[in-house]
Parts: sequence; C-alpha cells; structure tokens
Amino acid sequence: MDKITLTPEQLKELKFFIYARGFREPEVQAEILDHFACKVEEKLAKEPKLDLNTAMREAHAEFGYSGFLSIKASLDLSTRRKYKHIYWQEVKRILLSPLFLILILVLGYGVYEGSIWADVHKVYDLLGGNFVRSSIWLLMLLALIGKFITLKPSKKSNSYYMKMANSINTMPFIILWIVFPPTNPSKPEREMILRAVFFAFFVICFTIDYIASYKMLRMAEQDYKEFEEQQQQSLL
Amino acid sequence: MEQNQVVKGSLTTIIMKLLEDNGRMYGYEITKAVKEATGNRMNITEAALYPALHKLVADGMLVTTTETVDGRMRKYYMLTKKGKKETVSKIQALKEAMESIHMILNPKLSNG
Repeated sequence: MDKITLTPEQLKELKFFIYARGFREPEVQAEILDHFACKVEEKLAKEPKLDLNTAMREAHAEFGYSGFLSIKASLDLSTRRKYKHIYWQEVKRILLSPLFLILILVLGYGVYEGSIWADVHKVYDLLGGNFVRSSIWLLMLLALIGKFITLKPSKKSNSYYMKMANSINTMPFIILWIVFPPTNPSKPEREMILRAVFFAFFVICFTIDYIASYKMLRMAEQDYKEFEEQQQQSLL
Repeated sequence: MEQNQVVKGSLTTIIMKLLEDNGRMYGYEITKAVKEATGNRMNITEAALYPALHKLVADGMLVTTTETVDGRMRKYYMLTKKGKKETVSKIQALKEAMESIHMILNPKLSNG
C-alpha cells in the first residue's frame, strides 16, 4: 500500500468539510485536521479509486456519532482548565506575598485615619458626605471601568484562546465588590472601621483579580501568537 | 467490541506506555499503534483518545510540540518527567490488576 499525501487543494477541501460542520475557529480546525487527513489518506491509499468526497464522508463516520464534536468539547475543557489554573496560581502567589499584605494594612489604616480627618475638619463632597468615603466610591468605580477597558480583548486578539480565557468565571470577586457595609450614623467610629476594612478588602480582590486576569489573558494572547506562527509555516 | 470496554479503564496507561516506548507520537499514530499491536482487536476511538490526551496534558503528564507535516499542523505528545514516573506506577498497577483477574478466572491454576 503506497502512502498518499494530500495536496494543498485537497487539504483545503478537508478544511471546508470541517468548517461546514460548524467548527469555525482555526485553532479547533487545526486540532481536528491532522487526524482527519491521516484517516482520509489511509482510505485513499487502500482504495486508490475512491474519490475524495467519499473518503471524507467515510473518515468522518469513523469519528462516531458525535463526529468532530468530541475533539472540540475536549479541547474546550482542557483549554479552559489551563487558563483557570493560571488564574488561580496567580491568585495564590499574590495572596502569599508579604508585600501585598503590608500594602493592604497601610491602605486600610489610611482610609480609617482619612475618614476621621475628613469628619473632624468637615471636608465634605458636593452632596455633603464624607469626602474620603465618596472618594472611595469614585475610586472603585474608576478601577472597575479601568479593568474592563484595559483587559478588553482587541479585535485582533479575539481568538479561540482569548474566548476560552474570557469565559473563566471570576464572579466571587465581583460579588465581594458589590457588598458594602450598612451605614449607621449613630456609631461613626464603627462605620469608619468597617469602611476601612471594606476598602482594604476591595483593593485585595480587585488587585488580585486584575493581575490574575491580566496574566491569564496575556497567556491566551501568547498561545494565539504561537498558533498563528505555526499556521503561517504550514501555509508556506 | 467487548475488549474496548476493558481498554477504556486502562486507556491512559496504554497511551503512556506507547509514548514511553516511542518517545513522541501524534493522535492518529497512537490509534494506529494500538490497532497494529493487537492485530486489529483493539480500537481506540477519537472520542476516547482526545479527552484522555488533553487531560494528561492538563495534569502535567504530557507536553506537546507542534510541527508542520505534509502541509498541516501536527501535534506531537511526549511524556514529562512526572509522566515518566507515573507511567511506571500505572503499568505496575495494571499488571497487578491483571494478575488478580487471572487468579479469579483460573482459580485452580493459581491455587496450585
């Protein structure tokens, strides 16, 4: 049995066959293509009179009831798992960093002292509230907007890897941002401590989430770059 | 067909053993190697092979390298250091399990 190698035109037909079955991301197509092409080549080598379309259909049938879907589902799962692992590894690294702990303590203390100072010196915002407290709200809002702007994937990097990385759920942190301690004007001291603790907590969650998301997305971008380079090489 | 059910439970061990013997292999090559080694009696389906390969990569047992072969991208799988160690213990565990099954299936022989 002579070995058969598919021509670039035949490979294009294989790619179209995969694409037509709903597998449109080039990264997923590449994961399927080699195995599929090997099967088609073997069929054509065994029966030289077989036309390419029949060989493709027969090879596809051998993938079983779900066709290429099992490969894609498995790739999705492992890619997400990879990025999730990167994210949580980064979270762990930051949480164990002594420098980070010092920063949180300094920030919390700063907010607490700042709130007292603003009350004593009657430094109010436009609505008559404590200036430091309003600034905290504003800072949180700006930080959130900043996160979505800076970590928003560009059109160029909106690849399969980026989609998988973006699908990692970081909700636990977002929930923590929303929870705000209730105000109690009769106990201003307690309120200030609560706000200081909350602000420090927010900084912890936000910074960790930002850095971990950044690392995860950069890794996804790197994966895409490597994939693009490989793809370029295969087209030469 | 029935053999395939038995193979399912030891699929990762089979993959790791093949990679230990051959250094690096690509997906299709693994399915073909199993078929050839067993005289077409065992068949690893793609639906079983790729989830197993992806899981082994995610667990740090395998690493991949991609090369362009015959005008397309081919992903090769290789054992890591951790994977090599795990292969030895997995093969040992499989051998022991097979011996136990053999003793159950052939009680007279094994009891002397």
